[in-house]
Amino acid sequence: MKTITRIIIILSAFIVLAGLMVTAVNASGMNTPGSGRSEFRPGGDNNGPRPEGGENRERGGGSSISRLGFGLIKNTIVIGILVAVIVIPKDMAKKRKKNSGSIKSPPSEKNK
Amino acid sequence: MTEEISKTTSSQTKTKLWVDVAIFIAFLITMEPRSSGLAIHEWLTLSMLAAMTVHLLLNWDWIIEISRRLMRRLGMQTRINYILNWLLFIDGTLVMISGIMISEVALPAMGVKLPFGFAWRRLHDMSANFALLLLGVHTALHWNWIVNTFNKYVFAPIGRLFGVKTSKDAAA
Repeated sequence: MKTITRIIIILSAFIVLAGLMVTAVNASGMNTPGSGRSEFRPGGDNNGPRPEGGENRERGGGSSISRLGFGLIKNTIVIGILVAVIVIPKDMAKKRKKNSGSIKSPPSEKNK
Repeated sequence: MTEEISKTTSSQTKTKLWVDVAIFIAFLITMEPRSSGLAIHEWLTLSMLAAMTVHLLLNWDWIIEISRRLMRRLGMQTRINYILNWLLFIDGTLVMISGIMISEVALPAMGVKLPFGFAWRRLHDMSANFALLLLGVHTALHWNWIVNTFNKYVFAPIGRLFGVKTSKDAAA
């Protein structure tokens, strides 16, 4: 029963947020129904940034596995860099704090 | 009694670890819709809603505890972590709702066809990229837990299989 209540709370939060987002997008007028996919490719230019999906979304193929592998590695590297940028300085700061703490009050110094 | 509690905690930690690993891999796959294909992209994202719910249920006590203590004394990292988790939830919701709004496989398969929206596609792309950044920071903030849990439940058992002694074994 407790778990069901919690699931309902989580899904309610999700639905409330989703409702707010739909209302915000519709109210802002950004989302004009029927605005075509061609808007992404002015003049039929396919070299520029394209959105995911739509007619251009590829539905698999011979090299899709290697592309998927490349994409997975690329995103893992992005996450890895973020982890390194946050974890390494944090660990260094912790070590420095530890060291400065031990320098400040070494037992032999205290005895003097 | 203590053994029982320890067993429950241990199995819960294992469940957390595997649910998180599954979410992480699913997220990486869904970030590549052009390679994985639309059907996998959409159905996997929808199934991630269930996995995310399980993730939140497994961390429910922490969420409630920190929500109660938010206005009182709380460590800086815990506070950042809490705010980041909310951002991740909001962004995850945006990714999912915008994905649902531009769905071409999953929703039509359920008999629902929504009008195409330019804004939803842009929002979907932006929120997905932002989710990658947030996930990176989320992973970084839980890095110690990830390393310790992997060592305890993955590397140590594998090491034991090959006769490698861990520091715990050596102490015993």
